[in-house]
Amino acid sequence: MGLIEIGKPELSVRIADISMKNPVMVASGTFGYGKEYADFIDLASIGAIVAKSITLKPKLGNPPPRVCETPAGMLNAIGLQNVGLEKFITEKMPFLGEIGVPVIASISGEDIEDYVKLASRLNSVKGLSGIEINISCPNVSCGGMAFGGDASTTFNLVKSVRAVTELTIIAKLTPNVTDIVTIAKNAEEAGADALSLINTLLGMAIDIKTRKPKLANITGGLSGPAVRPVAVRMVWQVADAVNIPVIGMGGIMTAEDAVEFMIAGASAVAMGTANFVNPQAVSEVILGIEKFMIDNHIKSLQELTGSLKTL
Amino acid sequence: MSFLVNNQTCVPKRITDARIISIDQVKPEHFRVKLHCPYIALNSKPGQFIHVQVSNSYDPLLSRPLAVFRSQGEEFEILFRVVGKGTKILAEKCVGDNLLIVGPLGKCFPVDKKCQKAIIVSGGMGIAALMSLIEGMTDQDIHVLLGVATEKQLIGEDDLNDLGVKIHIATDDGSRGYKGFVSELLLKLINDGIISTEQNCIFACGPIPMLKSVAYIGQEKGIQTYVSLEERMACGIGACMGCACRVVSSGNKLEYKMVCKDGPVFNARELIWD
Repeated sequence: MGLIEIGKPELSVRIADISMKNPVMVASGTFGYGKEYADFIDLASIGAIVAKSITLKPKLGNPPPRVCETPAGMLNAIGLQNVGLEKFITEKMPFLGEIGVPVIASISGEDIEDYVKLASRLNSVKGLSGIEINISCPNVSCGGMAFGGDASTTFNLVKSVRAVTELTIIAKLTPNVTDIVTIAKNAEEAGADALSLINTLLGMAIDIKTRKPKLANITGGLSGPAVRPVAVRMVWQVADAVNIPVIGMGGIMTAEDAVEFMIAGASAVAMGTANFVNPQAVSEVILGIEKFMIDNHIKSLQELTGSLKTL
Repeated sequence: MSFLVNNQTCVPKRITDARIISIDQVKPEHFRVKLHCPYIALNSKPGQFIHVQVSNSYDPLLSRPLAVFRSQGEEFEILFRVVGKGTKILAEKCVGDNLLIVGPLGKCFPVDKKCQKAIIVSGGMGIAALMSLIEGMTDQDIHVLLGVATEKQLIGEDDLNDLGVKIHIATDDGSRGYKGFVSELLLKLINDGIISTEQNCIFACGPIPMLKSVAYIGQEKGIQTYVSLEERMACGIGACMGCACRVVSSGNKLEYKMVCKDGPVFNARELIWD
């Protein structure tokens, strides 16, 4: 026994029953079903993968154009195009399940019954560690944000899903509400094991020459660095008010951004739009967080989470 | 039909550095940039594209999808028109600057063994995505149709002369060649017997209305037609589902495919234009 490893910080974190080797997850809808990024990064190095949201039946999605760039951000109105529950299980899960990191399915529906059916079917799927309940998509006419914008619907929906699955449940919240704390508390009370926030902010952009909206859906969800201060504020408010872990996301591009969310109260973070800009962004942020901890003599993430000092 | 090239022969996508060797303004607003980047120069196939990060300031945030115009050894060129913030920044780069590039992306043009001749139809900047295809085809009987608004926007004529292909030009204002749309010129050349429809394929890139007309002509004349599409995209690798285009599914229903991953090259018969 000669060398003692000094200063190697502990990056592992636990979100309910999900053990992650580091706190950096990839956000739903930004990482496909994992395979899309296999050329660029070692998928096994990611904290956890949240797959693209699925619905009971395959979903066509919205007409194009579906994305447009905005200052330090982008708008999207994909409309939850996905392969549907059964193809997710038979075609996407075998690959995801082999990676060796926790896989979280994201579910979306038009009514509570849809979410219940999805969750009960997924409950027995091998290789799945958790379910993220997407009650915050701004780009679908039924369900999505309409559920997550209402406290009692959020409560009923989460409670119904809780009743049919033992998997870790994460409720993904929308920022497009007056009081996110009330929604968060309702999700917690209904049995959510953790909260993800934020989903995209409802936005809009217009081509002034044609006077047409830049998205066929007219409105879309804003993401990227532009939304980060809003997200940090909401994570801080919610983390302060609930006793379940908060997964912070919204415009994280660098390790410094991730650390900011953790100081605000996040136990883990997720990266979304950054994956589009740099398909290796997740790896760089994981290394960057470790370096930050070494440089600042931080031994574990618990020292960071919720460590905000007041002026 | 058998195709020589399929997706399995494509190399893995990579993030790679590209050093700017030269920047030339070839026409007002049109730039040609030569880059040293062995991985892309040696591995990119005609029809594939690259994602170029023009800035690391987050504004503009997203990379720009661009075609490999021509390549030689470890170098390749891109050709673009300044149309917005991203291309403006790109045009203002300096020799020696490094660009972050993701690629090669998307599917390439299929090469059909039975296709002994080729009709290349370019609208506007479409030639940027077609030149590398023409480069690899010089032993075939090739007609290249270039359509632009006005002669001042005509690009690539010298390159095409070097490649020894037959060039036909159309301008909207009649300042050069045929006065009218390039699709009208295509129909005229076929009807006049200058371009044969036998053992021939059409490869086209340009604005949607032009591609739609070309696809229609291809269908009417029984010529296999491939088009390269452009769409606003975020990730470039099939993850964000942003660059959707309408196709007919096997069940004869509307389906959205991704220009970045399923394309940018599509068989025209597969696409729904309206």
